[in-house]
Amino acid sequence: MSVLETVKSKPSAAQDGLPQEILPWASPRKVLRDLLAALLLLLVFNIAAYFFLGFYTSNYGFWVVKSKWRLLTSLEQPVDWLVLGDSSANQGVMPSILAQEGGKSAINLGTIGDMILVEKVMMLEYYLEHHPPPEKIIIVHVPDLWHRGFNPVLLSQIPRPWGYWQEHSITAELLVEDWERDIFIERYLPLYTQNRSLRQIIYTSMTNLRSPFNNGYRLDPYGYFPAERSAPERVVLGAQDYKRFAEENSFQISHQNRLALEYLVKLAEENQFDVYLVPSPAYEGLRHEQSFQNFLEEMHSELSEISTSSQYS
Amino acid sequence: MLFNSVVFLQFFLIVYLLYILLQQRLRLQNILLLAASYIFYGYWDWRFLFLIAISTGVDYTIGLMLGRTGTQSRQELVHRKILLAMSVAVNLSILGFFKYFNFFAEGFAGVLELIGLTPNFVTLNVILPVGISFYTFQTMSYTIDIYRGKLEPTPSLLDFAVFVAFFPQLVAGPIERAVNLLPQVQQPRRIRMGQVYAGLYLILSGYFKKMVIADNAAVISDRVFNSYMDYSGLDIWIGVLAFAVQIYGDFSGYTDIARGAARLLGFELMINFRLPYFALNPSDFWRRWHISLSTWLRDYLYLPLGGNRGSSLQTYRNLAITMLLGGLWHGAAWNFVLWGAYHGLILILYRIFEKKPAHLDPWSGRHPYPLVAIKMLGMFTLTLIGWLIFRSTSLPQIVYMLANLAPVASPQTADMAAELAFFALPLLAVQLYQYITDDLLILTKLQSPLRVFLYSIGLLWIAVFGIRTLTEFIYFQF
Repeated sequence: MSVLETVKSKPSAAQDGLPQEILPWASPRKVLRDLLAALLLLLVFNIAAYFFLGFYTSNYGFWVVKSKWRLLTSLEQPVDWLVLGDSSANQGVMPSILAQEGGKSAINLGTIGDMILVEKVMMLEYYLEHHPPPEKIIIVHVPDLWHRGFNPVLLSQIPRPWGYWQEHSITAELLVEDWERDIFIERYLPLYTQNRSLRQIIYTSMTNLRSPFNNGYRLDPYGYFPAERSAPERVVLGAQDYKRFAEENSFQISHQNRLALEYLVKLAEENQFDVYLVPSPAYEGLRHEQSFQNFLEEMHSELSEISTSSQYS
Repeated sequence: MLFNSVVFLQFFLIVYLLYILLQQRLRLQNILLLAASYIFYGYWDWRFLFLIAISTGVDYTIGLMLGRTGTQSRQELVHRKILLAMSVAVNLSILGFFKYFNFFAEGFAGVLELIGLTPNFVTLNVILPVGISFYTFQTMSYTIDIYRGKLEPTPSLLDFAVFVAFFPQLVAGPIERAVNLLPQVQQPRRIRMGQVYAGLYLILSGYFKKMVIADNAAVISDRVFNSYMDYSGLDIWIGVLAFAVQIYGDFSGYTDIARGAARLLGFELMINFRLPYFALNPSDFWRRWHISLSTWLRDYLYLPLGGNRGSSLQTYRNLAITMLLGGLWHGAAWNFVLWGAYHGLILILYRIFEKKPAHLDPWSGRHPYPLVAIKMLGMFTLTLIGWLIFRSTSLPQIVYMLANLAPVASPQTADMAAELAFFALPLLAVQLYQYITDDLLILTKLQSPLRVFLYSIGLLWIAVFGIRTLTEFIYFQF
């Protein structure tokens, strides 16, 4: 069977051995049909990419957010200790040790720093809607996280039904008009917004013959993300960044984090649990830096002020 | 306004809708095209519009005057020559000033320094107007063709202005001849569906070539050429190969979009590339690469110099001059001059050693297939050497890279080769199919499901692998 369409006019022979352009036969119907069919197929690729990236994205941050929220939404039993926070919580707190040492059940829902405290409040609200309050909440954050604002587009990565943010009073308060459009594009047009992940997955699958269904990320059953190898050079680089940050900034809490803290206090009072705000473990060399010490003291002082406003927080 | 920008897509959509609304009203359509072309060009820098307006005005007027001047008396012939000289002088002065002033001023100063004089030249901060080489050559061909009696001057300034500034091909060609484009401006255009279909296909192909192939190959070639001393011989070969892929994808991609957009408007622009990397010899290469420039140089420079009508030595001289100036046309830099000289040299050597033209149909049975493949590979290697010269930024770089082409691998060679193959192989596969079938539009004739599947894969690849940061087309600088 020929792969070529039957043409109405026979192509003329090439002149002087040079290839020619022989116009294809086309009707308005053919033009429209091919155009729409190609676009439709592109839409199918887009939908496939949406589902695929939901589980196998190569973007570590997005994958962690999705995985932790899946862990939370599929949690059947309540836990004693709920660990929230950023990547330092994700890779720094082992719930299995808390269970072994303290005999308490725990789950690690630490995600990424850019989700700031706003997402922790959302997680907590979701948890409290479905389970009785835990005994303790541990929130582990890197010190500079308190400065950061919230990027609402990141809400697109949370695997819950469209519009879920309206169920959370904090996001309802933070929501501005064009959020939803941006979240929609980020979430449902992955060919446009997550092309770098797709590029990496397709490229490595085709050149290294690696399965696209294995991004190499694994959580333990309690949500802890074990590091597979140490990277001391990155620790040193990170410490240098923090040192510079502490030298250039005094401690501040962003508007969105402050709002989230207020919500946290309210939730703690309503549900009568304690919240521990823990700065993430710091590199020994950094601990001895005066600028960093000053920064931590400022942080401690400001957060203590907020915590003393409630008997539970 | 770059073809690969959202602004252009919006611009073209608006222009196209208005254009369709104005069907059957030729004058209004041409006014629209002129306005659109000036907006398109002025989007870079509105001051450039003065240059294009001067070029248009001068050649329109001289064209009319040439048309009114007879060819009977000696005085009339002298008058015609003066008019032609004026047109050429004005166009070349504009081109020379904006493109070559600093190059020649610095070169002249260098020569004076060599003989012990201390020159005090001023180099000017001249902005190079995009596409100046393209439209200057286009307008010059108009007056030359009228002078030669091949063309009647157009009485309509509007039509002529559209011919000069027609936005799809204004900044990077194809360099159209008035004989081909002007009648299309003057006569009512009928947009046929085959033309629309092929136009859409060319636009898709152009974006694919530019955003997926050229821009990704550029990442590899830039890496190698920007720090060539850090790479082994095989890496340098890969870098040069990547540049060959980049420049072809970039320039032919632009041409595809230009010709595709023109087809949607009912215009047929000339084919600028006919699978150049499948050329069998230097002469064949120039019948396939940047055809609108090579034929321009042939018709307005090589043949007037005498072409191949004189002795062998005169032919070689004519070839050398044509290719040197062809190289210089690309830009005011020595690497372009060297590149032109190099191509002149291989054309001359080809003429010396190849007695019969071998560029006729290679599949006619006259040539055994393995010989064709060997010739292609040989010519492609020569082309790569040319691109090495073209892309380098200094003579020491050219010398170093040429001296380090020994096939020595490095730990990064395999990764670089895989990366290049990933982006270049789809292009090679399509071109091989086009070559075998002798039809550059063969993909549009595949069975419907396969055809549509390929279009959507093309779109998918543009979405996923297309470089989003706006990168200029290489040939804009020429």
